[in-house]
Amino acid sequence: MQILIKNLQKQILILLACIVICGMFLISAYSWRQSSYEYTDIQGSKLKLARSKYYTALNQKILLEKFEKKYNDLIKAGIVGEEKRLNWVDSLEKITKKNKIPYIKYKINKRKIIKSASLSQLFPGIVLYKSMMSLDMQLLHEGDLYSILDEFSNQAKGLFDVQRCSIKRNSTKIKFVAESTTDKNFSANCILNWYTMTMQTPGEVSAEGI
Amino acid sequence: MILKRIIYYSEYQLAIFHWESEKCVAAYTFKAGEEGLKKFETYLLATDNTPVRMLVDLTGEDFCKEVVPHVGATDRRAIVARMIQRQYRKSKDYVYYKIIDRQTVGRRDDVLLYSVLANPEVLQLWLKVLNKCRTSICGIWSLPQLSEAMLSRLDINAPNIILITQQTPCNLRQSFIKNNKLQSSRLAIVNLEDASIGQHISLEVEQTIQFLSNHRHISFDEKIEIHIMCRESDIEEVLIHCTDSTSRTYYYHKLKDIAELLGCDFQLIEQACPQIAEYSTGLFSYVCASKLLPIGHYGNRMIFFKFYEQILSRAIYALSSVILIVSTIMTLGYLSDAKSLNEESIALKEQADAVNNQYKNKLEKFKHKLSQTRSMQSSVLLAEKIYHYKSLSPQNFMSDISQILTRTGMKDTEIKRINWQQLQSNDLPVIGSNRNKKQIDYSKPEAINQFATIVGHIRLSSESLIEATTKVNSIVHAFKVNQLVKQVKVNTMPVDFRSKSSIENESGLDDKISGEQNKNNGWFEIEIMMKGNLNADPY
Repeated sequence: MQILIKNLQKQILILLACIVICGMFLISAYSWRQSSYEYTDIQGSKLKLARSKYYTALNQKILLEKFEKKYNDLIKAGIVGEEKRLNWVDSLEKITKKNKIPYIKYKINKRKIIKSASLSQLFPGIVLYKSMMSLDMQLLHEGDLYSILDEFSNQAKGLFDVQRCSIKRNSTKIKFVAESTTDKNFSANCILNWYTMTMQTPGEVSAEGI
Repeated sequence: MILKRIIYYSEYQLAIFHWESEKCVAAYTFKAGEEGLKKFETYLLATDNTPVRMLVDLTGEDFCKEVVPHVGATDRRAIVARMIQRQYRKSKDYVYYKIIDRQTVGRRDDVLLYSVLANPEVLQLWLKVLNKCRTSICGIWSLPQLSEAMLSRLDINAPNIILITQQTPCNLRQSFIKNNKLQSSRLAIVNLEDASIGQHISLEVEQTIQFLSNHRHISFDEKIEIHIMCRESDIEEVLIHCTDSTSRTYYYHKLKDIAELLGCDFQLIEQACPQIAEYSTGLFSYVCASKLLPIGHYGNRMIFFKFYEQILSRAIYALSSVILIVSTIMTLGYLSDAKSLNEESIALKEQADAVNNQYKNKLEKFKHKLSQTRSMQSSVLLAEKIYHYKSLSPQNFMSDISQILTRTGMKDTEIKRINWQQLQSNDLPVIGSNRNKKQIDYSKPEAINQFATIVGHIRLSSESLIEATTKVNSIVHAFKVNQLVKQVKVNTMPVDFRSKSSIENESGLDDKISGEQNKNNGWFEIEIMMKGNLNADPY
């Protein structure tokens, strides 16, 4: 065996040289190809990112054109931004005066954040607030309730819904309202929810959420 | 063209044939002795080191048949080695054996034929020269063992054949082939000064048949075909002495015809070396050359060491070449890949730059506003949804139920109290349930309905109990048939006629007392669930 190796020394050396040289060339070529591949991959990702950014911005622009005016209207209407409590109170006073409501008592609770998974999923990027307003009224006629709620909705800046309302005819001995001599024939109490929204800023979390 | 060198060796001379495919391109002879060895050495040094195949045709080559147990190859090798050790101590490397038959009775032992060079020293002189010149030997073949292949290629088939060939002027090879398998072979020395070749052949055939009969290779009356391959000029003379009998049939083959049948070409040799072309040496050398695998019959590893070395050397060169070629191809492939990837990455970079430029020119100035788009969209959509459900109000509800109640006739009926609320459910709430207080979530897909409790009073002084009940039932019916109303439930009737309740009433009282009693009776309470909006939720 040793003789064989000795006799084939030249061939073995050539083989080893071939392996080493070819291996070096192969490794160099492979690593160059690999780095080229990685660089191409990076460039591809950059292009993808640039395209994504561009088309996202394009879509956002379309949405901006569609919603900007409406959004600005919401700001003007007092729905987006800070609450217009003074306006609400003022409007209510005016309406009461105008419709000669014999008695009205109102209370506006502290504003709270509404938080729900479906809300943040369906309407992302905003924070929704709710302020509960309770109204206790004595009315001459049940139609006054319509007038108060309708006018309040039209005049006050903001968006509200009526959560619940109860109207009761006060006890009296007369058969018909028309025969009544008092102006407090009906008692009504209502719960209104005022909604306001703001844009969500990163990390905006309130402990007061409901 | 691959050159194959065949060295034919007998005690008298050594001949070398150069075969290129089917053509013998050169032949040389070297006489035994110092001069021949020197010339042989000169020849080897002057020519390329093409591996040689040795073909031996010696008088000292014995053929024996033995019956051995039917065992595996390793055990059989051991048995043969023991036999050789006993009889041919010096020839352990020059033995060839094969199974030629198997007994049909008894233990069904194998019938083994082995051939052995009884005096291998005669080869050593020449092998030394080959070794000295570092000539590689790929195998040593036994000429008689090639007889089978020769007859097979000539398509000569008979149960018993004696093949008579003459490789040199002074010897006569007789090989007995039974059923296409060599059984025995003998090399006889002929002296053409004593007798003619025909006489020698006739005599040798008789002696061989006698020998075969004695050794029970054939029976005395068995038919034998005798095929003679001799010089064309001797055929006439041989014909005089060798005549057919009932058990013997002679066939004469001209060497040219055989060469034609084998498909080999000797023309060059006939002109350059006629003394070789006259005998069958060349034919056997061709048969040997045409063996695909260089696996001979005799010799040990050391004899073929140079050949193995040469093979290994070529294999290493071939491997080096393959590595070089494969790696070159792969390297070029990788380089080409890398080049095209670089081009691709440049193109991608240009595209990305173009897109980024377009973004900068067209859209970057709106960046801040664009980032607010999602919030704007959410705000607008949510506000619109709340606006959509804003039509759910006690005003509208009272207006709707007023229309329904008016149709049923409201004479002597007073609505005393209405409790209204929004409810995000399709079921009537249970009294005192927390669900009544549940907040409305505009992001949920469930529809928002209106739930109300209507409390009223029917003046029983004007209506009979049955009429009051009928009136409440007609109010309930009116609610039920209305498409806005989803569910109706009566909590209290003017008079409860159910068996589980008690009824108490008085008649014939004066108007004042009667009025007081009526105030306590005639009350009804109805719960209704009304659709929030006939139009579907737009979101």
